[in-house]
Amino acid sequence: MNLLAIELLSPEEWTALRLSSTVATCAAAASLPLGIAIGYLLARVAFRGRWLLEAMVNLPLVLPPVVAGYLLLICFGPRGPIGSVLADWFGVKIVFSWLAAVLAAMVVSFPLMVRAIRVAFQSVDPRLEMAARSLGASRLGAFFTVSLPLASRGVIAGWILAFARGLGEFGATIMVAGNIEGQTRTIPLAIFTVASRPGGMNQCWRLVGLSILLACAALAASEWLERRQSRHESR
Amino acid sequence: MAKNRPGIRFLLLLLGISNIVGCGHRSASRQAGGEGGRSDRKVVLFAAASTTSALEEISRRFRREHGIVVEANYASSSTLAQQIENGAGADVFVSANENWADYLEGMGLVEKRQSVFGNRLVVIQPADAAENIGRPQDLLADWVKHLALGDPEAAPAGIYAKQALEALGLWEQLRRKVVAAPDVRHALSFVEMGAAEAGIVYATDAAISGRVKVALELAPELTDAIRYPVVLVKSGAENQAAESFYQYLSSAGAAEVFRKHGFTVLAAPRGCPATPLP
Amino acid sequence: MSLVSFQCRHRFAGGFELDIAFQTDHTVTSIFGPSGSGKTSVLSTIAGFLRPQSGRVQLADQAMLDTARRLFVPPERRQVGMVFQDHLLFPHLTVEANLRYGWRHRRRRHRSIEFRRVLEVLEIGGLLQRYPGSLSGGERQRVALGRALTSGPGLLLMDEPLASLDAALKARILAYLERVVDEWRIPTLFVTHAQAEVRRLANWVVVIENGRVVATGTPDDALSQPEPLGWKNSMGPVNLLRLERVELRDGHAMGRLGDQLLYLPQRDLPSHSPVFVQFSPIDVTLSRQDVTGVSARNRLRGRICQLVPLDQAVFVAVDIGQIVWAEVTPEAAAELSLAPGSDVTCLLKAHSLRVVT
Repeated sequence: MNLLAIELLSPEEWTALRLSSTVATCAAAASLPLGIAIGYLLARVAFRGRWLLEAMVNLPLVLPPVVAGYLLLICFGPRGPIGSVLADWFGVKIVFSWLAAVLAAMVVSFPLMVRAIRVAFQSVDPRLEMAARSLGASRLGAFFTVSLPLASRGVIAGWILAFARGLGEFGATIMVAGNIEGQTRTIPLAIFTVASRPGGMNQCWRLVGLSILLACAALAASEWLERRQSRHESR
Repeated sequence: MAKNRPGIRFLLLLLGISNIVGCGHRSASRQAGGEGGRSDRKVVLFAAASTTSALEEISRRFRREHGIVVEANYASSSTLAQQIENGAGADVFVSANENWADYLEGMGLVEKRQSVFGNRLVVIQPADAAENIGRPQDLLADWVKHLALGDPEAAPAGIYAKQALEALGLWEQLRRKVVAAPDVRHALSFVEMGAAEAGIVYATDAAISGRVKVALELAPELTDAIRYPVVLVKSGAENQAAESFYQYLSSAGAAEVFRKHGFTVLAAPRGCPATPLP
Repeated sequence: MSLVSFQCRHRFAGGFELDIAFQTDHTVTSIFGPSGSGKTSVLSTIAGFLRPQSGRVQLADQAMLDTARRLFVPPERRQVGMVFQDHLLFPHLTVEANLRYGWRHRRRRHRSIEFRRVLEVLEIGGLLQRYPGSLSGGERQRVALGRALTSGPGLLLMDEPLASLDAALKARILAYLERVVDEWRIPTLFVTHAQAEVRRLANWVVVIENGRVVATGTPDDALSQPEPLGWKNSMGPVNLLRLERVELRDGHAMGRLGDQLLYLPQRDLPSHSPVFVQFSPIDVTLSRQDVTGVSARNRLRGRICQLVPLDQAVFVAVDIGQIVWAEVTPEAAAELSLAPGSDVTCLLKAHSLRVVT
């Protein structure tokens, strides 16, 4: 199986695949806790300044990804407000690393995730949490044993959407993570690089195919998960 | 709703993917699409990013003297060449590298060709960098974490930079530090912002930025001659204004502007035959 | 020491004001009133979901809320079991998991209610592996009741528990509620707008209208006062008679009320006991004399104990062993010289009776 696999893709394509999968998975996983928290907050709680939170969350959706990447570069670059702290205190340089690619993917996919999760929580009757608390569950306990399981379908959908978006992220990635072979050259960047060479347009079909395959796999996984979910509920 | 969701998701994914692949093609189709009713009093110029300021000034002079508008599109030579190949309606193409001009010639898209000006490679650092790079070998130091270049596979500045580093025997060790920027201007920005500790760009690029300093100049012998071929594209052959501009680029007035911006002016006579120089 | 001591003042966003205070040490207390009177807010405050602008809530010897002292015990620590109008069972858990939910969260010493006994009393043992979505309305409400019980509550709160059920189901679930009260005698507070429920279950009733308490007392007393109940909105009293025995005589079911007999509208014996019959005051005709030759099968003799004159009607309370209300026109009352102490006969058609069990 190994030999066959090696023949299917060149080393640089394997690297791109490995990088893309890692980056997208980490980005979706890292944004999940915050996505759930914010999705729940926006679905349930009315508070002053809520419009501001909504605007901030939705901003990456309407901003061109390159602009988002540029802003991230300014922020996290060695001279930026956050980047300088990271460099001075921890000696860590985040831009032009795979972590920056994760950051870029997180930022652009976050609004999609929050949207799906918020819809999921909106469809869960808030009085169920009341019932849980009347039975002795704490606020957090009621959330984890009642609301979250009931919203899990939407949460998973949000995760998958974020994952797929992270796989395809280009503009922000190339700005803040750069295009470094072996380290940040994800599949979209690899396609761009190969296509930029003379006659390269014809060479990138394997990578394009890989992109599509990954996207289909994500879709299939989400369908399977949803079907498993609905088997457990009888509605 | 449950039935629609996979469809919507797939659509979103397709849009995401087309975003990647279509990035180079968008301006091409835009150009090709808006062809109808093009007047002969206008020149469509495709030029390498590193020539932006010089050609903008030349275009202004040209307009003052001849009353003809030059519409310019500046990007990396690779992107522009591919757009021309795909039917973008360019009249004049200024490439930062002979390869891309050769490429178009191979496709029969070149009407006329001349080499007018050239450039030099320099190593730059952020203006306020604490440590200085004295020799190319200093790039191997640990504190130089990232080296910004134009894409070494596609952008001429990057190709030359890679050539120079290979000639110095440093390429293999440096390649894992190389940030391949989409074009050389981006590479410059990365160094300006301090995101990359060093970069290799054209002398002309370094000259326009006050936030970088030139650490050293790379010897011209390390690379092929860095020449900017000026091409009159086949689709601009009938355009009188384009012919006019093509000639203007090798005039004394233009030479003055090139020198002012830091380019080297080649002593090539006007109207060279359409064969690539060695 | 009262079981529940409640005082609350709160002004809602829409302008509705709540100003309620009551105490009760009866096992089953009902909070009765028309829709929108604020009954549910009382339960919400007791349960801890509504934090009023000013109030005090004390359950047995424990203070749950005291705005003056800034004391607020969160809902999960109040040991209050709630049964909602819409059952609110957790749809992603089986019936058993739902029932065990409260069980898990209770401290040991409060587990005085046995899990198995709850299953028996409510007859839900066979439903354990099913999901709420597949249960019928009655089954769901029983499971909801069971879930509130298994959490070992110190106080049971029920918010219109029968409101979403149809008539036949109401009666059956009411019977289960009675069983629950009999079995465990947990202090219970239930909200309703149906008099029949109050009369069957409650030892004490607090009548609420427009956010204020208008009457408290035993069901008979409190529900006999015309003003607060808005009899002007034709919410008049409902007659509910409890029959000691039902016999079959001449192919007809007859209910025994002391030494009087009541013809029931059916020809067979009702399967459940005890048996209640419900009928409206308007179906009762009064006569000062013994009557014969009329189609109404039932003639109940008794003595008038109260007269409530309203604009368009006079409500007459007749004591036949239990209280029966009759509605007559003011002219009729005058003509018959109806007065407390008078002996009258109540004529009642068998088909006006509705047997509820």
